[in-house]
Amino acid sequence: MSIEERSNSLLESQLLKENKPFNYKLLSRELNIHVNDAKKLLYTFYKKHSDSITVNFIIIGKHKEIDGTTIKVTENIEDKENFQSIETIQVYSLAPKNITINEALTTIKAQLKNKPVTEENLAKWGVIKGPELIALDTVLTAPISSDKKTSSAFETKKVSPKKPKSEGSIKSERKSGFPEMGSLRDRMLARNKKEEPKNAIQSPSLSRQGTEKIAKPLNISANKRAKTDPTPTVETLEDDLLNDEEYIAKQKFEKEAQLKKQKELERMFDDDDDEEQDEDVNDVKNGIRKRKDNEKGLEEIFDSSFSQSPVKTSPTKKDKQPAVESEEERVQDEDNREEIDEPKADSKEESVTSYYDEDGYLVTKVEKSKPIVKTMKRSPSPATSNPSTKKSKIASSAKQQSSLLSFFGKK
Amino acid sequence: MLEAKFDQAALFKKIIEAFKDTVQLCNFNCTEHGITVQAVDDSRVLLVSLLIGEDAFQSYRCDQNITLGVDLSSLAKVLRAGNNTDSLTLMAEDTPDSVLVVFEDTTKDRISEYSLKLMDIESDFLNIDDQDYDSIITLPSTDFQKIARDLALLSDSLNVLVTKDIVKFVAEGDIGSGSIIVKPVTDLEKPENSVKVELNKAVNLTFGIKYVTDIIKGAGLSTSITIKLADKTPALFEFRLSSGYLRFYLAPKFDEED
Repeated sequence: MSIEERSNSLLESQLLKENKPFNYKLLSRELNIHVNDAKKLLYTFYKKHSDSITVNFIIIGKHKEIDGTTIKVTENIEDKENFQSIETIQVYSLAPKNITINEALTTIKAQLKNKPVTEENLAKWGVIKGPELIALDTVLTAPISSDKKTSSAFETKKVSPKKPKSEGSIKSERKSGFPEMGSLRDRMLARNKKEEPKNAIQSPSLSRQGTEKIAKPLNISANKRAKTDPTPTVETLEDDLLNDEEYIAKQKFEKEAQLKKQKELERMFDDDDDEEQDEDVNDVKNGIRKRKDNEKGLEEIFDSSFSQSPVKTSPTKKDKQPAVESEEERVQDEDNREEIDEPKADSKEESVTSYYDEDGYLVTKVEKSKPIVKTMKRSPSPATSNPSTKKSKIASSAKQQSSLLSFFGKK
Repeated sequence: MLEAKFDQAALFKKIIEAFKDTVQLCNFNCTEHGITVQAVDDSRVLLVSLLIGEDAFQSYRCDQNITLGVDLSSLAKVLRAGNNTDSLTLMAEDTPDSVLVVFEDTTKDRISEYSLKLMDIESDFLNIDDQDYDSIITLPSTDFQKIARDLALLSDSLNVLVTKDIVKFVAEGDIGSGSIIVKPVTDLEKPENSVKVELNKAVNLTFGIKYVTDIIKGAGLSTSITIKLADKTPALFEFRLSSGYLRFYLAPKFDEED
């Protein structure tokens, strides 16, 4: 096969079939011929296929506006009009019509890197030699410095440096302690190109285990819990689970604190007749309520010192038994919720209201609270963060949020 | 090996912004045809389904299926570092412990690379069968965004009623109620402004409005949104991408007795 035939078939497959640009350097290296021959071959090929490909030229000459010899790579031959005098016009590259000149240049540069340059080769391909051999060095380093720019996504092969460096030497460089300057992407590409199973051995950090450790705490299910569960309930629950002694001790402590505040306030208001009894009840009330909401402290003390105001309290000694039961049920409910994770009506929850009637008797009412209220609390509702009016409660509680899991099956 | 290059980082940034508030952790499943994500929010009410088709990328290569477990808030942090006009490349090895995000500023010849650690995320993959919907509404995404935002101020529930070519969005709350009626319009000059309503059966559905306000974060992805509704079925909200889609499935609210 003659060189021309080889060139034609190569260009045909690359340009017309694979849609890749080609320049004279690449052709000269592919076919191992002199660059000038490569230019001629490109031109012959272009003449045959001028309808389907575009050609880029190099114009060398004196530009009208720029001093000295100018070399211009252009896709538009009309650019020569801008030159005062022209030394040569040569074919630089051929490219499929849809590829712009810039894309073509980048792609070609990347491809060029795959062809190792040796002194011998250069002699054959043609090289502009300076007075000394240093000229060769500059030729060699120039493309390397442009590594970063040219390694575009088109390039899927490893960018190999000119003087074929063994992988080992690169590795040792890396280990020298200086941070790697090259691009991570290039490294990844390089690693991938070789496709050896070394990956796992070389870098133990790649192993799955390492990742798991980091990831575990952030496990999706853990997260879910945190968001969906009504935290206040959990808190009370924990409190109630404390053993009796602790509970009593805690109560005592709180009692004392409350007592102090209470006395102060009462001194200020001085309008309570049956102090002793009142205190007892208030202490229980306040103790429990403090646990639920520390911030509201003062407001509540005001509240409870007026015996008429109905206050929600936790069960007193009398009611303790049923309350514990309901707590247990709540625990069960919690468990269920974890599994189903679906809003579920907590029908057994009781709310205890106690207040003093006109004659000064303590009246305690045990009510079954509506399950809706609870659901509402849980359902995230930006609009009802304030205590809502009766009407709106009815309106928004009429509907209950369903879960996707009841529609889509797991795979 | 995965190598997925977006011509402009803006697209991927918008996609992540669109659902990073819905789910925190999710798996990006990369196949030879593109990247998919399926994730459910913590309350299991809203499901995100994303497909970025191969053609949405400037170049795409994925030799074998790769799963990238990503913390979206971390990813969003990294993405903020890139300019919208930069190109963005996602790279990962076949069994990756990290994903590489590369921004290239073509005018300045600047390359920024970020490596993001991956995690193993257990998630249930839900089977979503194609189904027939009672009503399909297509409207400009910005219009829907406004509707949802305005009504979210009134209530925590959004009622969607579709009857005889009229779509009515209703919210009733503490301070009062509001409703917005949308009728089909055909705008020949700007087809993206058209409102289309297909109706097989009247629809009356109620949704948690806070989920809807999450959904509308995808409005930047597409000029229009398609809403598919059927009784007692999760609604489908879809933003179409040049190749692929971002879909949200939202479970409706039911009457108590149901």
